[in-house]
Amino acid sequence: MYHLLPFRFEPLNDHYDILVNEVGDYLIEPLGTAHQIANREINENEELFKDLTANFFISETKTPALIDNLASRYRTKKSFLDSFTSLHIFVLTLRCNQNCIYCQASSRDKNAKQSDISSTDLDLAINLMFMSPSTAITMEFQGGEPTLAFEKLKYAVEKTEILNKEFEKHITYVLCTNCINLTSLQLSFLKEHNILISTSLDGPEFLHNQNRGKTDGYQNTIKGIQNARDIIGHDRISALMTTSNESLNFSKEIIDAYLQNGFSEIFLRALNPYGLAKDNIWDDYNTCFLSFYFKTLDYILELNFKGIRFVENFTTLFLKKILTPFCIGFVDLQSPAGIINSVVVYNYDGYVYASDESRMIAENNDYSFQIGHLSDSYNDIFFSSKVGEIAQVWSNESLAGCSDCAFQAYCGADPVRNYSTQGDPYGYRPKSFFCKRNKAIIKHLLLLMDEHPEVLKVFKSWIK
Amino acid sequence: MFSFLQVDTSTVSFNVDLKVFNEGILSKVLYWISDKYIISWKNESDIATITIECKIGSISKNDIDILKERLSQDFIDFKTREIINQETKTIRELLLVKAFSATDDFDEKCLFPMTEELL
Repeated sequence: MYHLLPFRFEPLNDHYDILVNEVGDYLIEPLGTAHQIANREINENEELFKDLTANFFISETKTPALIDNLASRYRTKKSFLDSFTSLHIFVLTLRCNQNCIYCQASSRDKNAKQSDISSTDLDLAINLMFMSPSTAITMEFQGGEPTLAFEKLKYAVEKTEILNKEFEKHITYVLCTNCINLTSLQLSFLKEHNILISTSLDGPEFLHNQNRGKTDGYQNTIKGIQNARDIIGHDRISALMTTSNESLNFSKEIIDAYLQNGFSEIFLRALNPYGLAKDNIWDDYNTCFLSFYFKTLDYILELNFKGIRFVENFTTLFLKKILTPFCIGFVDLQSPAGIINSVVVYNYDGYVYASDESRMIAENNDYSFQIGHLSDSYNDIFFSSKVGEIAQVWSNESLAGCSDCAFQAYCGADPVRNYSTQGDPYGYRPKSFFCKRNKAIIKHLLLLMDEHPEVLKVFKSWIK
Repeated sequence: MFSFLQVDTSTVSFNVDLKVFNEGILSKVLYWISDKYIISWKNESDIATITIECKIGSISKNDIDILKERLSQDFIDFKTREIINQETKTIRELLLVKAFSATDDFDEKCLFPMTEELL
C-alpha cells in the first residue's frame, strides 16, 4: 500500500488526464488514472507506480525520504517572494504623441504638462524604490510617452546612480517608448546609462497605423527603432504588440512584419480591459483571441521547423513554469500575485499603485488599488491594511475554482483584473477569461509537447 | 446523483446522497455550472435536492444529456480530489513548513532606519 502526496488533476481531453504535483511536475495518463491512484488501484509492479513514485505523486513511506528535496523545489518555485518588490514603474507623464484606439493608460495631449510627475514626487518615488529589500531592481519608465518628459527621466537615472553608490543594488533601467520622439542626444544618454528600450510594434504598416490613429506612426516607429539600434545596439530593444480587434485577422502578417524589422521574438499580448479598451465587446474578443493565439503559434512553429528561430514570449513564460524548476518574473502569472509582491507603480499624480493596471483603473476615478501617497512611509504603504485586504485574495491556492485546479502551479492570481472585469477582486472563475485563456493555452501546449516531439524540441530551445 | 428529472422547459432537478458526496463536494460541482444556471439546494436528512434553472432560454434534451454526463464526472472527480486533499493535508503542511522555515531573513536593519534617513 502506498501513500498519496499532494497533486491535482483534470481531464486534458477525451482520452487523458493531466496530473500535476505540488512543484509543477506533470504526467499525462489515461482518463480515470487519478481515481485509480486515490483508490489504491495501482500495483507496485506497474510502470506507472514507478513514475508516480519518482515524480512525487505517491510515496511508499508516509513521509517521502526526499521530502527536503521536494520542499527545496517548492521554495524555488516561490523564490520570487524572497526579495519582495523588484519591478518599480515610474509613470513620468500621461502625455502622449499617439492616439491609440486601445489606449489602456488614458493618455493625454502631448502639451498637457500638468500630467507630468512633479520633481518632489519623483524624489520621493526614488527613495521608496531604494527601500525595497530586493537587491536586484528594475526601474521602468512608462507613460503616456515618457520621452515627452525626458528631463525627468534623465534626472531620475542620474539621481538613482548617485544614491546607488551607497545602496549597491543591481539596477536595470527600462524605457517604454514608442521610439517616435527619440533624438540622438537622448539615445546617447540611454547608451551611456545602459538603458533598455521596450517599444510597441503592432505588426505591418496598415495595422500599426490603424491601431495608433496616425498615418505616419509605423514609418516613424521603424525609423526610431533603427536610430536606436544604431546608437544603443540591436539587442537593447525589444518590442511588444497589442492584439486589437483589427489584429485578430492578421497572424501571419504580424509575425512577418516582426521578422522584416529584425526581431526574433514577439509577445502575443491580449488587449486588457482598462482605459479606452474597457469598452470593447469582450466575449467576442476573448474567443477570437484564443483562435488568433493558436493560429499564430502554429505559424511561429512552422518558421522554427524551417530553421528560422523565432520565439513567442507568452508561450515561453508558461513553458518555463511547466518545464523548469524555476519561477518567472512575469507578474500576471504569480501566486501570491505579482501586484505589490513583485511590482509597484509610482504614478505621475503622486500616488502609489499596486500595479500598472491599478493606475489605469484610477484614471476612471476608481482608487481601489491605490496603496498610498509617495510622501507616506515605506511601511505605511507596503504593510497597510489595504495591502492586507488585497493579500486575502492574491493566492490561487486559496481561491474558489483555483484551489483544486490542475494548472495552479502554472497560473497566477490577478485581483486587479478580477476587479476590473467582474467587479470583485476575488473573481468568479466560471466566467473569468483569465482562467479560460490560461487553461486553454496550457492544455494546448501540453498536448502539443506530448503528441509532437519536434514541438517539444523547439519549445526547449526557447527556454534555454 | 440520482432522480435526475426535467421539471419544465428550463429546469431540471436531481438528488444527491450526502453520505456519498458531502456538501463540500456538492458546492464545488455546482460552482462550475453557476454561470449558466440558477441553483436551489434543499437538504432533507442526508439527501440534497438540487434544482437548476437556465438563466437564459430553455434546456433541450441534448443539453440535459450533456449536463448529466458532466455532473456525473464532476462528482467523481471532486470526490477524488477530496480524498487526495484530506489524505495529503498533513504532508502538504509539512512541505510548506520545510520550504519556508529558513527563509525569514527579512532584514529589518536594512529597512527601518533607512525610512527616516531617506525621508
